[in-house]
Amino acid sequence: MIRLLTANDTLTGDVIWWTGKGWSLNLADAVALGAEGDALLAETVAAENVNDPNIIEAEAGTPPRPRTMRERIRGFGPTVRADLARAAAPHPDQKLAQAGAA
Amino acid sequence: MVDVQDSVKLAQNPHPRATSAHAAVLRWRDDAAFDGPVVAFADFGADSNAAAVRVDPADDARALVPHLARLRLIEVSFPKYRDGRGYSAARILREAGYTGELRAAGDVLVDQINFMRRVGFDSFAPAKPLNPDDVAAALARFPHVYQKAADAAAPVWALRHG
Amino acid sequence: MYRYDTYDQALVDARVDEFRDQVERRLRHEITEDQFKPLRLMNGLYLQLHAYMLRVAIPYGTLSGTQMRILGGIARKYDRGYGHFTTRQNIQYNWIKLEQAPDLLAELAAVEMHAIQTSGNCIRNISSDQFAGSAADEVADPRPYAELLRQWSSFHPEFSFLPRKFKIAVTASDHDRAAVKLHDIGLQLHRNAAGELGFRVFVGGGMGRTPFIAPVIREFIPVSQYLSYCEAILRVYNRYGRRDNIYKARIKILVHEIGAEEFTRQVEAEWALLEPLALDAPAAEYERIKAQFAPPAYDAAAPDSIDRSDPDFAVWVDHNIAAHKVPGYAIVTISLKPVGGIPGDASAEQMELIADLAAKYSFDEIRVTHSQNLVLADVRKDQLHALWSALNAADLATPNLDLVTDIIACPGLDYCALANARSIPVAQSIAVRFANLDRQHDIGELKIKISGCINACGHHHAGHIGILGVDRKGEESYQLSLGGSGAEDTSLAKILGPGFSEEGVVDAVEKVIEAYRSLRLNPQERFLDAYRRVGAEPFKEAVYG
Ligand code: HEM
Ligand code: SF4
Repeated sequence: MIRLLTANDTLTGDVIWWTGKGWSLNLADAVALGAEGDALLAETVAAENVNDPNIIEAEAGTPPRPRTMRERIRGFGPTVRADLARAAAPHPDQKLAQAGAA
Repeated sequence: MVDVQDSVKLAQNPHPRATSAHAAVLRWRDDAAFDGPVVAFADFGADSNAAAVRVDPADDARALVPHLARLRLIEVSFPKYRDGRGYSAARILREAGYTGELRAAGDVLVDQINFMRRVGFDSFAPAKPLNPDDVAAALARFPHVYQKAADAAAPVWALRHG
Repeated sequence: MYRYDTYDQALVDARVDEFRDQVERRLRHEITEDQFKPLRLMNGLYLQLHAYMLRVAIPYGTLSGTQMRILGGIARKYDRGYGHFTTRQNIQYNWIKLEQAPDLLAELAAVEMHAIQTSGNCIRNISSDQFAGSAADEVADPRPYAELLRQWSSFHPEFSFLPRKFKIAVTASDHDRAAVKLHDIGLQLHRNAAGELGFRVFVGGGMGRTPFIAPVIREFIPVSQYLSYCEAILRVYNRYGRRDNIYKARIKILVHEIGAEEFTRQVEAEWALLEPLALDAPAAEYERIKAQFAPPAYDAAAPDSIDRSDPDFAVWVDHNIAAHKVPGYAIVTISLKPVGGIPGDASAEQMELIADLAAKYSFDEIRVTHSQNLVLADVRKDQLHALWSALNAADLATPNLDLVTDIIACPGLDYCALANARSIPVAQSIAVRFANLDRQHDIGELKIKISGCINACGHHHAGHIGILGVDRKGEESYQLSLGGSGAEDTSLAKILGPGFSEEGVVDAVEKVIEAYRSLRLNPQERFLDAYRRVGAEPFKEAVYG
């Protein structure tokens, strides 16, 4: 498991991922945090430039695969709207929904 | 309802006079501020001579009603702005005929000041100082009110049916 | 319907200006997120999983075609082409940008709409019967009273920082289509022995993690005094509702803890002090509002029969049409539950189409129902077929009102930051499993309601079959409950047994339904009635046995 820093953009509300230099809308750009992670989170919380910053766990990969369904939905989009999928399609959890809509 | 005079008075007085208890008290009264001791609600017995009392959120403001005549200042505390019990306390005191100073103290924010004026507060001791221009703007924001409260504002139903 | 006068408009416009200032202060970093959050919440703007979510109030669920058209336009311009109608007769947009929210609110204000008090610990949108004004069984149109409540509760200076949110529903029929007993205050309009109009007052109902059915605290409060009576209820709640624990802060907990009798005594004592203060609006104000809800110009010559020769149309008529009080007219429910679709979602195009159809066939008025459907309340019977054809072409004529596929589902984990599990895919899978219309019609009335967490926005406590998403060690899991109702026979569903995976819960629902079919006395006995007659055991046996 790797650790990723994520938040929502204050202006747009978009889900964003920490790339090591700044924020990206694309989960594939997220960098694995090292030991600096917790300090970085504390700094981000204090700065209040983004909303709800948080560290989450993911399996390494391109894009990484967040451990929880919640974070996968944040990363890839709602599972029930294939047309609104974000970042790397296909959505890892859209299988059922597509079968359901068939 | 916004009292234009109030707003003007406040705008002309960007640095209201400090009192002993608070860094900056905003007042909408012409009488001199009371600067004697403010006793805690629990210590305010019927036999006390105190002319000022502090009401915390859990205190029953209605218990003060028999003593209103000798009270000059009632300070209602807002430890957290989200705790809205003080709004009811204020209105209950005004409905019971209290005309002395009614002060909101503590976590008093500019975005709530209009509501606080409407339930009867006429002085404010915010923990963090408010920008007087923001206060004036907030009080001038809404041109009408939908319901009666402890102020003199006529609700729109009264205006509609003159 | 109600139209703003200059006072209403000035207040809503002022609110837009205020919010624009607040957003600018936040964007300039003059206020922190901590300070800003409650301000945006007071304007219905939440931060959800993907973006900001905006909840727009549709007072008592009534809107004009013009308003619906703007809602569609907003979906296209500010969102991703759709919106979600909720169980509280509001609409939610899922992909809003903070920087655009003030412009969006200004567009809403231009058509007399707003997002005021759609969140926060204040009095929320007043909900009502979606058939109000047209229902054959109502004693009077409840909406003028709901509108008066809307005005009284808007920017209420004393009640904007309550212990918790506060929801009021108003209805005027014995047949309860607004779930009044599951609200903080439920007001049921009725006549006393002397023939005067007044309200029966229910207080302390609710769902969430501790569901309660509201007790009656007053059998009759004259319509001339219900506002001051509500004021008394709110004051008792504001002063004594619990503030130490957010999960115990709703009025239902206060009523439960001190008992309905003591609560009533306190309200009556408070009201005795408030009533003489002339807080109630005068009768003239009620009459002014009522005049705006005057019945439309019905055609007395409209024929009172329906040509049922088209079989698909006839099926829809059987399921989605309700009795109108005027001969020659019908109440049409537009299902937002196509099989495999997302319950309550409508695209911009669908909203615009429905706006056009309302203008053409229903005096330019639309209603939102608490089961996430839409209603055209005044349609001529001889125009039903033309309306149906237009709806059918847009996938809006699913003939499934109150059937097994007419499922209520909250947004769940696909959108909601508080969710434990997804709701929508479960609704879709169940609908697909029961897609066959003959099977649905054979099963008859069956209300499935799904929530993605204990907050119960999907009314699972009030479902004939309720499904609750829970988190089991990081996995989505679903709990099945049976026997709830949000109608006049209000009851709370009871958990059947251990939870299921997503596929498991669909299988379990099917087993429950098959068990019902084999044990019902006759096809007329509804699932709910059969469950009440035989209890949970046979269903437990069927599911876990
Ligand atoms: C997506 C954002 C939403 C959030 C954050 C949210 C939050 C909540 C919370 C925290 C509660 C529990 C209140 C309590 O027990 O004190 C609740 C209840 C409720 N919500 Fe939502 N909700 C959301 C969406 C919805 C939607 C989409 C609907 C309609 C489909 C809805 C309708 C309701 C209803 C009917 C209740 C239960 C009645 C009550 O206890 O007040 N909400 N909501
Ligand atoms: S029930 Fe839970 S998951 Fe569903 S909308 Fe409400 S808060 Fe979100």
